[in-house]
Amino acid sequence: MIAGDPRLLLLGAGVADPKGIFGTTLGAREAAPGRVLETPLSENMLTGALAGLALVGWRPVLVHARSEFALLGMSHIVDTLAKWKWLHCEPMPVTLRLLVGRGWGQGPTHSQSFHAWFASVTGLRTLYPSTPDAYDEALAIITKADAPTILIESRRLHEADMTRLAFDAMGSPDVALAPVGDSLLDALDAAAMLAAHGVRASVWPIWDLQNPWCAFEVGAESVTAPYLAAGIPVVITESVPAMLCLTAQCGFPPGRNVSVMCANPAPLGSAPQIEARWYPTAIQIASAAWAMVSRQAPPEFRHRATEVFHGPF
Amino acid sequence: MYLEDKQAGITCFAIVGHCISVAAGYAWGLQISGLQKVAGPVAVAWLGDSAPETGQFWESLNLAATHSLPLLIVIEDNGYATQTPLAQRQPGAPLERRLLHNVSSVSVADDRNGVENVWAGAREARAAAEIGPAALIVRTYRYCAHVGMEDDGAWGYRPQAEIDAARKRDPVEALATSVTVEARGTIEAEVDAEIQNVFNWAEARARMERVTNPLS
Repeated sequence: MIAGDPRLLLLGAGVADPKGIFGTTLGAREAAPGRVLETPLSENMLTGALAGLALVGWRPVLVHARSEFALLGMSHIVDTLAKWKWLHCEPMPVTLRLLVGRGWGQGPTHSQSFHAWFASVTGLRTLYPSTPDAYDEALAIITKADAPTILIESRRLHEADMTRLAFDAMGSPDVALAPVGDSLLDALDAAAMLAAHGVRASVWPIWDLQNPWCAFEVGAESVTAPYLAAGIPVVITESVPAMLCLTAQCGFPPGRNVSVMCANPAPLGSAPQIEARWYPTAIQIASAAWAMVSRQAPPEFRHRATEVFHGPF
Repeated sequence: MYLEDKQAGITCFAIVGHCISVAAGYAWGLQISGLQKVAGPVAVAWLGDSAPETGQFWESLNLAATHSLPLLIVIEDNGYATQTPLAQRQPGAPLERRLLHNVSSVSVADDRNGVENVWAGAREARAAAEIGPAALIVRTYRYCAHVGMEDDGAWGYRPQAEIDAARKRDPVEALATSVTVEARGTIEAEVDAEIQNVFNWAEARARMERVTNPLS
C-alpha cells in the first residue's frame, strides 16, 4: 500500500522496530524505509504533528499499539484534526490506526475500544473493519479521505482463521447478527450454533461507525443491510460496554426488534477467568437471537470457546 | 482566535500549546521532504508564557532536538496567564536556562518591548533555526485584560503602578521618537488608510452577503 502512494507516511512507537507492530508494518518498512518513522513516546505532540505533516503535503498514519494511547492526544483529535477542514477550508488527510487488545491479560487499560466515542465527534470518520473485505475498503477510504479517519483494529483478529468467513450468504435469514470488531468471531460461532437448531442467522459486521447499517454480509458481495427494511430482528454484539452510544446513533425506530449484547459495564480484570465472564459469549449471543425468533425455551447451546490470541501483548 | 493568512503561511489555534505540536510536525515534514537547508524555510510557533507549562511543549522540543528540525519557538512572556502571575506557575529558574537542553540557540529580548532588540533577536533566532530548534524569548507587557479591551487595573491581581510604568515605555511611542515628525505623520496616514480600506472591504462584503443570502 505504501509503495503505491508516495505521500503516505507511517509513524508511531514501534512501527520501525524488528517486531513492526505485530508484523503489520514490516512490509511497509521494506517497501519504503524512509517513510516508516519511529517516534518518541509523545502521543499528544504526535497527534498535533500529524496536522503539520499534512500541511507540508504528507498523508500520515499514526499507529498506536493500543487504542488507549490515543487518548493522550484527544484534544488534538477533537479540536485540531477533526475541525481543520471546516475551520481552515483545506483537507486534513490523516489517519490514526488504533489496536484493541483482548486476551493474554490485557486488563482494564489495554482492552478498550472507543469507537462509539470517536463516532460522536463531528469531523471524524470512524472505521472498525473486522473482515478482510471491510479492511480493504477502509484502506481505500483512508488513501482518498480529505478529513481525519480513526481506523480501529482488533488484535484478537490478527490470528483468527478468516476462512471461516466463507460460508454461504443467506438471502432472507430468520435473524441478523451485527457484530462490532472482534465480536465477529463470537457471532460466527453463534450463527453456527443457531443453524444446528434450525435458525438461519446471517452475520453483518458493522464497520463504518457513521454508517453502521451499510455492511458486507459475511460470504456475500452486497454492501447493503436489507434486514433493516425487511423487519428481520437484529442482534448487535460487541466486546466493549459502549453500545448505547451506537444504538442511539443508529436511529432505530422505537419498537423495532433489536437486541444489544455488550461487555460487562465495569473495568476488565486481567485474569483469564475474569475475562471469560466479561465479554459476551457465543452462547449468550445465540440465546439472545433465539429469544427474538422463538417463543420456545432456548435449546442447550454447546460451545467450547477457543481463545485465538495467545500473546505476547 | 482564528486569524489566518494562507499566502503568508499563518494559521492560529485556540488551545494553548497546540500550535507547537503542529509546527514541530511541519518542521519534520520539511525535513522529510528534503526542504531543510540554510536560508530555507523554518516552522515558527508563536507561544505565550504559559505554553511551557504544557506537556506537548517539551514533547515537541524533544522531537525537534532529536532530529535537528527547522523549528523556531517564539515565546511572548507578558508575565500573566489570564490573571495568574508567572511566579505561581513556573519555577524560579528562567525559561532560557530550562530550554538549554532542548534547543541549540536561545535569543532573549529582555528589555520589555525594545523593537530593535526584538528584531535583532528574531534575525539571529531565525538563522539558527534553519539547522536545528531555536528559541526567541520576548519579555513584554499586556496593558489591558486577557480578553477584550477592558482596563483591569482595579481587579487586584497586578499593581496599577506596574501597568503605568509599562505604558510609559510603550515600544511604538519609543520607536516614533526615532523618526521626524513629518515621517511619523506619513506613516500614521498610511496605516489609517490601510485600516479604513479593510473596513470598506468588510462592509462591502457584508452588503453583498445580504443580497445573495435569501435567509437574511
